[in-house]
Amino acid sequence: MKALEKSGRTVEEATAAALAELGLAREHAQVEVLDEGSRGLFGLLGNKEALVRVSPLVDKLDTARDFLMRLLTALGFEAVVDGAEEEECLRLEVSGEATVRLIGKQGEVLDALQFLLNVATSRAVGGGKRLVVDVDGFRAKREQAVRHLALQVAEKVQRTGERAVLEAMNAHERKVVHLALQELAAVETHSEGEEPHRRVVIEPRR
Amino acid sequence: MSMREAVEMLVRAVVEHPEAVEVTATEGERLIQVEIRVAPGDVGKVIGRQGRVIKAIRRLANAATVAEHRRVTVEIGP
Repeated sequence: MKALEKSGRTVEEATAAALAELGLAREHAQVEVLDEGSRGLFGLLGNKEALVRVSPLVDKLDTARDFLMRLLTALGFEAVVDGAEEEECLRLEVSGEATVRLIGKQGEVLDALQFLLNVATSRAVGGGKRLVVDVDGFRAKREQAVRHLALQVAEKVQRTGERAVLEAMNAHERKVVHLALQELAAVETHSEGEEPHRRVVIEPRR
Repeated sequence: MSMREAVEMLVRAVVEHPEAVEVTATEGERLIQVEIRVAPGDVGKVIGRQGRVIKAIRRLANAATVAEHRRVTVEIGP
């Protein structure tokens, strides 16, 4: 369903007319006032009509979930997708048979899927929170593993006084490392190298 | 499974002119060749910055067929 522009004597009248034409209830629509209009002098001179644009309110999470389910079906996966709105993102959890293939080496297939879903959904809905796609809890487990590794290496750096370079990680995982170690007084972290080979360096704090 | 349908869904979702999108797939025993045609102004959208979109499509397509030992090529036609 597309947006509809409608004019009327007042904003209220224009909105009501547009809603009626689209067959939408007010709570399911987004109303943008393009021109408030003016009554003119004594309602005689310089009368200007109000102009509004009314479009259906689409839910980004629902749109993304529906798109992802249809895409996975077309690709031959029997999967269930659960959606949840979180503080910083919209999370889509995929589970089902053989969905492990959607993860790939170090999550590279999962990252491709998440990237495509973000591009595709922002064309349709625009704005809103970023979509995070996870398969069988892979991201959550990987985050935990990365945090664990970071703490282990930091302990070694502290003990030996020698800097350490971690394996290449994506931006999100590097952030997990930085956050995990920022409270430690003995070490400091920064990243080196170019994507996709950017690595976190842990060294003794000077 | 319809690789053609999956690629078409993705391409339609990223272009400005979804009505101009045409996707064909030639399915062989070891290879699926997918060819995409879009409006001239949309080629860049399908490729993406530094090829990110087309690379992601290829990666996902190949993940779906790896178990049946088939490879998928995805090209943007003239």
